[in-house]
Amino acid sequence: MLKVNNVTKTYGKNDMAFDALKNINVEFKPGTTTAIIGKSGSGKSTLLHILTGLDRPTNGDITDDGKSIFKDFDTDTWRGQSIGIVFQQFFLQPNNSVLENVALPLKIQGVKKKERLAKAQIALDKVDLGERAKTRANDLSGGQKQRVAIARALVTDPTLLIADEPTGNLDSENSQNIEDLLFELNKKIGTTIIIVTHDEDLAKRCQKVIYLKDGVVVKGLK
Amino acid sequence: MRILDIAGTANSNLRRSKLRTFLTLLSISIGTFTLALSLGLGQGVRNYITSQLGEYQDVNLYQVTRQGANGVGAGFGNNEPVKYDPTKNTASADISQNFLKDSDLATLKDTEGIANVQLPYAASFEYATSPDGDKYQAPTEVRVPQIPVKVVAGGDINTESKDNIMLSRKYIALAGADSSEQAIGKQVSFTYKNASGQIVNKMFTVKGVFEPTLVDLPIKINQIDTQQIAEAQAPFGKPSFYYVYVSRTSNLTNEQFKKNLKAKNFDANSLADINNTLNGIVTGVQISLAAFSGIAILASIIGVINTLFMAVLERTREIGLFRALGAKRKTVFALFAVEATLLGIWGSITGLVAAFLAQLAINNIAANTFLKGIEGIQLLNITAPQVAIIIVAIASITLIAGLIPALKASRLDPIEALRYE
Repeated sequence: MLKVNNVTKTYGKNDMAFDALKNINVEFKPGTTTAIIGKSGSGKSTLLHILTGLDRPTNGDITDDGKSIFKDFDTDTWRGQSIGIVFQQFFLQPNNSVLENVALPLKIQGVKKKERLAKAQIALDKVDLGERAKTRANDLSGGQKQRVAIARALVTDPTLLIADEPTGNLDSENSQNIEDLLFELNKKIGTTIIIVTHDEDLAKRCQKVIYLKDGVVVKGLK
Repeated sequence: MRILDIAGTANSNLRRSKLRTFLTLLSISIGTFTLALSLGLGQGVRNYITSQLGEYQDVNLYQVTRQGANGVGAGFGNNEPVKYDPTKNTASADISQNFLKDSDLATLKDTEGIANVQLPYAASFEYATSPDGDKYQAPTEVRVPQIPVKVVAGGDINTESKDNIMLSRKYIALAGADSSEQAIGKQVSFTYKNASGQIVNKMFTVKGVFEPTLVDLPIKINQIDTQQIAEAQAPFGKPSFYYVYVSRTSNLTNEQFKKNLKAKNFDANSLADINNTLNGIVTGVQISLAAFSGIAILASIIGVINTLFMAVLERTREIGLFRALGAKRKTVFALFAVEATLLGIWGSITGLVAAFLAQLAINNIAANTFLKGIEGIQLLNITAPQVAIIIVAIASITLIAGLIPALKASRLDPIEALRYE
């Protein structure tokens, strides 16, 4: 279980110091869906970066099954193996095939080509894009690109999938499809999902909603 | 990330910006091209010198002169004035000042380390007449047994081979022959003037044909006849010698031997010295040419640094993505470092291919134009070790050039990188 323990993040120093997060305590139980919601500047992105180990808290810690992700793990390796991240802007490699894009995290982990492509194909099948494996990423629609990004996040069999505004760049129909896909994956595979969003309708579909305002959790229950 | 995947990713990254990669490779390959040609030229000339003089490297034979006789005294327009010394005979037109006197020869024989002294008698002929009656100029030298010759037909002549000569392979027309084998046993008449101006004819038999080198005269005559003719041609029957051949005893090193001679006012030069001097000159020229190539390579290195900095900027978001997907800083560093190394490898291979093509063309043109007639010379000769050294050196240099961009890439904040527009 991933736990946020008393996390504070301060930017700047002395008179210019600014707390983006203040004493945050949250836990994400396995197999649950959680939405982190709040306005721009509320601290959502900062919390996401700290949750994924891309940034370090000024105070406090993040633990995975009781172990600090910063002290007890090699944070980069932990992130690669335990976390799948879905970005608003997809971040696909446009000239590479869909299959190569999905296999990228495994390539970074040093998995052999044959094995990683096989796993990538399985991940693509999970998002119903198995038949587009050889298509160039640039030739896909926005919705399909986000499906590929989700497959890429799933390919390492992570314990936690973090989606940062996953429908922010999509039209309403595609947004709906992607939301449905995320919740379906949660039900079928049991992946713990955290969605960072400012979309209240999407947040309402999650089992838990964390409202952030000025770096503080103002509501932590649904 | 596995090293093969890093190399594959770096290689496909290079293919993304085709024009920029092409221009960078072009600049590296121009540097490599000039470096390979300058090394190949040095090697080609060195090979030729070795083919001509290499066998002389271990010959125990020195040409000994009076000290300074090989240098230039007063008398040449571009020299500094030399103070007059009344104890020395230095009349500028008197070249006899450098001839070895009987006392010099006696001193030499008494010098420690001298195994024997040979007088280099030289006969001078007006012409030679072939069995067909054709007359030819006849540049000759005495056959010195210690100096190796490559016999291509017949046999060598030794000190006892009276009335025998050897001809260069290119001089067999003197024997009226079309092949080296045909020349053996043929009689050639040589004509010379004695000291009183009388014409004398002497018949010689061709005993051997040899492959000529740079330092060979085309006709070699046995020592007995050479001495007789030289004495007949010299005033009062006493030839003068500017130098003599000496051999060194085995108990002294080359350096000790030369030092002994120097102490008694003699200079000694071996055939190996000539070989080494020529090779030294070639090495000097080679280094100078390589230095010019170095400037071209340096310019291309700036191109490599620029290319990689551009690549880091262009791929900032991708670097952020890699980090977000679990890549360590060192993986990002390795991706760019390998990319720089690959630029060096591909650039040097391209330059070497061009250099090999140029080598083929230049050697072909040279053999048919300005080097026509010089057998055995291959002007450019790029060797396999040189190829390996060039590729490793260029790849190492581009790797070093890529370290700063690679470091910059690896130090990017992944969050900022993902936000980069």
